Amino acid sequence: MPEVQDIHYELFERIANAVCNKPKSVDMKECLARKPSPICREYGKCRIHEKTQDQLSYVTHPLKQNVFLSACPGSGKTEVVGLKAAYEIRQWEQRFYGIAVLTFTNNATDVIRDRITQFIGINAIGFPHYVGTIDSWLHRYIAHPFAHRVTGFLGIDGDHSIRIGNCSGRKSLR
Amino acid sequence: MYIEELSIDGYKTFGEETKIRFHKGLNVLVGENGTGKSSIVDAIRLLLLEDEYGRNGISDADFFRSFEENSEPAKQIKIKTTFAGLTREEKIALMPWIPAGDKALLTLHIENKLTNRGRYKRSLWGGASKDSMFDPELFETINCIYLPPLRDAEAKLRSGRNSRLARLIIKLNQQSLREAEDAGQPHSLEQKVIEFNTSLSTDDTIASANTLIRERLAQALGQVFSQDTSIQFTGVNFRRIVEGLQLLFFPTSGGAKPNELYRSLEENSLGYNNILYLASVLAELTNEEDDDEFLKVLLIEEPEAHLHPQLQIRLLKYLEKQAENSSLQIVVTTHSPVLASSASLNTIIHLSKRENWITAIPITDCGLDENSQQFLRRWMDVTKSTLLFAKGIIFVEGIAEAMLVPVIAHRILSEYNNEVPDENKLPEYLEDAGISVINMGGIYFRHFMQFFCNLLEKENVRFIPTRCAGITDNDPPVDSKPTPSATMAGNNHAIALQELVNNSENCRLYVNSLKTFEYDLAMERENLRVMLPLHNFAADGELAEKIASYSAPVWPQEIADDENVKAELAFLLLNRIDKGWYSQLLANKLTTEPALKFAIPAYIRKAILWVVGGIDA
Repeated sequence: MPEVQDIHYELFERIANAVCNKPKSVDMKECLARKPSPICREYGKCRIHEKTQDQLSYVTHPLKQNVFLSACPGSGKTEVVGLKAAYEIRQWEQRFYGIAVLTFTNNATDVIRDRITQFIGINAIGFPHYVGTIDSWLHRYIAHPFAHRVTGFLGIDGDHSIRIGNCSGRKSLR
Repeated sequence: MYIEELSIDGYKTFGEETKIRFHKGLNVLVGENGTGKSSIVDAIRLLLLEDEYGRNGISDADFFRSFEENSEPAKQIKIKTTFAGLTREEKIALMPWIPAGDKALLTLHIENKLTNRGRYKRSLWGGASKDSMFDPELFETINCIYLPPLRDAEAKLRSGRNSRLARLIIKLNQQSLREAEDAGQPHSLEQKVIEFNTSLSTDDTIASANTLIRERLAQALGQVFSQDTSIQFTGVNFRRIVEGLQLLFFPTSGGAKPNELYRSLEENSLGYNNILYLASVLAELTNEEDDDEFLKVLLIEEPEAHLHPQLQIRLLKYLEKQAENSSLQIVVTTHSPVLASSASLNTIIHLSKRENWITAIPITDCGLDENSQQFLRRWMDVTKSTLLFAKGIIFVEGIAEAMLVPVIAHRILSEYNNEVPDENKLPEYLEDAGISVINMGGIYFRHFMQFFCNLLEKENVRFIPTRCAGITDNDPPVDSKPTPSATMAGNNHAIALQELVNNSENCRLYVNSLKTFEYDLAMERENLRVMLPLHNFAADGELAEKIASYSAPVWPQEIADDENVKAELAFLLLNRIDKGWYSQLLANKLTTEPALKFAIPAYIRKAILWVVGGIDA
């Protein structure tokens, strides 16, 4: 058992250091007593340390390798994705390309946004990153910019955005 | 990446959609006043959200309105640009701006309708569709700096909010500032000022003043309500510190001088302050360490302001080099033939306007071949480069034509105006018509006229839409004495170009029928009567008699028709004179005696009327 404990604590250290700037010299309890982040203060416990080792190793999994998180309902998948996003965004160095966190529901989007905000602040979810549903992402990054190339829509006044039920658009079809 | 094409519609002087193609690196916009040079620069500023202008630089006068009666202002301003030369990283970051291929688009529409808050409604979008993702943060990758025509360099370099110097220093230290912020520590510069302030507070000179104030305050308000005071240099944050700095100068370079020798910019010359200003801007823009900037555009209106010619040339060459060696794109507008002649031809973009239609022609579009380019590179001097600013051009071969054509033109134009109804009258002087006489110093039509018509018969070329006429000589053998009834074939190679030139839209080439410009002038009707007395012939005998009778105020009927004698005398005269000096004497005579009869050969008359607009295409 002590071995498992060590691995869990090591992962916790890595994440807490990245997300909360927690120095190694300060242990979890001291950190919680001294300057807890809003999310920890609210719950009265460390929101990183409470995660299981599996959850933490998902968070530290290298970004450039695929990882598939599968668990039963209510087991905290969205919560962990929120932490993972906060962890990666804090370490992100590029200014003009970012991470897209895509979800299938607005609800999941809200939870993830909320977690990222609570861990590392409201500025973290804006440009260059994107947190939203896959539908809205497709809509704004793929459909609007490029659909006209498939449909042949010639645009109105230089604007090729898709419009629903747009009769005048018909005339402008190639 | 760089701006490859700009399209403007409905903005300022642009009544119809006009496309302007730009080069990577340096672009020199030339053209007469009112052809839209500044409007192009302003359009770029609007679109790229340049600091002082991008967000609110619009008023009702900016919407195009034609000068016709009852004209309506444009309903919309449309400005669009294409960016080319994107690196892989730029393509990723600007993905939503790239609708197809590898070029990015940015479009700005401004409706001519005020919102409730008194602003014009604008929409700005990247790529082809308005509703695509558009992150305003991407504008941080664009750095557009504008230097106005009559810039107040001194004010910009002075200390104060948003000073040029502060901008530069902040930019250079972005990295260390971010590090300090992340570490929650003051920046090393801030630390120094904090220490300095601490040492000040214990310095007697200041501490005693503070003590006095503190005591009075306590007396006035009592211990409970009183406040504490401290005297120090304001602002220990980085921005405030660097905004308090100012640039000083010393008139010679090389080696640091003691601090106290440097003087305030008020004592410097306007020209040098302008250069200092420019240097501070270039220091910011050519800082290659900052690779977060995809597009760096420097817009300079009339860099010639306050500079003497040598400095103008030096500056332009420097800008050209900077643009070559960095990712910086520079757009310069100029009226200075000095600048235009020293800029390399492929950086020049010529602007002209006819009615409401503005045309922008990059000289690279004119299809000049390598030969012509090299020739013109050496041959374009200050006087010749005025052709880039003219409304019409008369190309001549030598000094005699250059001196006499303007004088002759005035005679022709006044005479023309006497014969036509008021509405068809033309300007009476070439300068009133904005027409330049360009002395090519030889028969170089092939090189010069290629700006205006397709002499090399190339495809996909465009030309400066300015009317021009060439006046050239038939040039039969030097010792020949041709007459109207015995003309001779000439040796001038330019004659072969005549058909090609005359079939073009704007250019005509006129060749005389006899020999040379002066010879044909002398042979025209009774011109010898004016021309012979201007030269002092040391002749006697039969020749002296002939000269005397042909110099007489009235020619007897019998000699008027003897073209052989006229040819002999013209030949003799032109062999004796110094061309430049003689042309000056003749020009002077024709100017000071407007009533003096002097006939103008038809080919010169046609050339002048063509350029001024008295002959239709």
